[in-house]
Amino acid sequence: MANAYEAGAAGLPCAIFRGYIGGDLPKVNSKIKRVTCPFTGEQLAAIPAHRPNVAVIHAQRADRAGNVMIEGVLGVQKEAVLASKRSVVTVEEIVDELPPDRSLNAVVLPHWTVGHVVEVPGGAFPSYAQGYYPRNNGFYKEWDAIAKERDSFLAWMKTNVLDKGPDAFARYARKVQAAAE
Amino acid sequence: MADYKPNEMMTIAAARALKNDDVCFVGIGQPSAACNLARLTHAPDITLIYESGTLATKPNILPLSIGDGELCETAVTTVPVPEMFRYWLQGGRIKIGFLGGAQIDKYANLNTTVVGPYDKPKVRLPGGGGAPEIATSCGEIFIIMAQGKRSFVDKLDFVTSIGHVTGGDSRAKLGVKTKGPTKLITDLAIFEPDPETKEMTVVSIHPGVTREQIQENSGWKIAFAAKVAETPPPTSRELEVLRDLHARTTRAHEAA
Repeated sequence: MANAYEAGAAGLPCAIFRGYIGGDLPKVNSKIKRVTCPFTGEQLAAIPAHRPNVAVIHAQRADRAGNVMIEGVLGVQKEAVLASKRSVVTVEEIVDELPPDRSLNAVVLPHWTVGHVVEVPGGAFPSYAQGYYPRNNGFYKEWDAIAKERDSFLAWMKTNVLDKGPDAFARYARKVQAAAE
Repeated sequence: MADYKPNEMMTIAAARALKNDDVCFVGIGQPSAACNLARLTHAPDITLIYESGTLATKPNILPLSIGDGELCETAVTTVPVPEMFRYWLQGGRIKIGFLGGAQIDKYANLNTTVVGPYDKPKVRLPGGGGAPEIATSCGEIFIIMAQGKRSFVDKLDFVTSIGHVTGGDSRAKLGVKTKGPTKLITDLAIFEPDPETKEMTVVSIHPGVTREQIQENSGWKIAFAAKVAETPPPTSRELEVLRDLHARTTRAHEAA
């Protein structure tokens, strides 16, 4: 997936890498193909680039122009936004100016690459936001059981999300943040 | 001799396999415990790398997932995941990959995809993640897994990551230049590949364990090396550090 997002971000049709050698995955996934390097003859794996309609990621901060700063585990967040046709970046806070003492490489998405920025404090819950609040490990582990079956997942979503709305989340997030401070 | 559990012997034997100057790609779960035990005992300078891109991390507690903030905060640097796989893993900069799995066969091929048929699985496992690439890109592979008839099988339901494939030179014939699994550490014994057949062969048996027990907990006929050693029992320091690590981890993971 990381390779597929990266190829999508680069506007390439596919990702090429040394992988899936000898295993059964290519037998059950017809999108894993083999290509031959035109220079060395080496057999490599190729998979289609991933170009989602929309990417939603969470970051620490953005300024009013929409420049997004992320610190910590970066994952494929930058690649996901650049690979997608549209994007929504939720942030812990929108600030007038990004902190001048930030790392010189902390702005990973300049404003013209981002579709929408929305301020959602606590938006990483139940996971953590580096520098803001820790993960709720208890809930993180409970989630395994909730998400295991579709019925229990849908029931949880109905009770806690669909029937409640964003105000309930905001109240909850404030509590999470207060506890972290 | 201190009292200890087979699982503790396994983690401790696995930790001992690592050296202070190793650069090691760490799988979550059992491998993570073994690698950090090594770092907290005889290998304080070992470079531990997790799939989330955290390079040379020194967590105080075991991570719940590869993306834990603790890994990032204690790392030399954290790189994006595509870079992790391209420059670091495929680039050949990682000496040892430490993996676990749900099923293993005698050539140390691993299954982390499904138990049962792929289209109608009895159990859907977490999947390959980065394991297929780790298995072929790291210089060599160490595997840690508790033994049992359901996990040590004659034939894998699915080959997620290759070990020595069908034995002999079959791995090299696929064009893979790395060594593959050089150590398999279980709760009963330590296995290494036979130099010719590449079948995983018992080279050391943990204290108090019999050859029959090793056989009873495997789905294939186990090969024993000509000279089989006895694994030195855990030292009191190894046990203390491991138990402290698990206690700290449990406290942190139970916190709301």
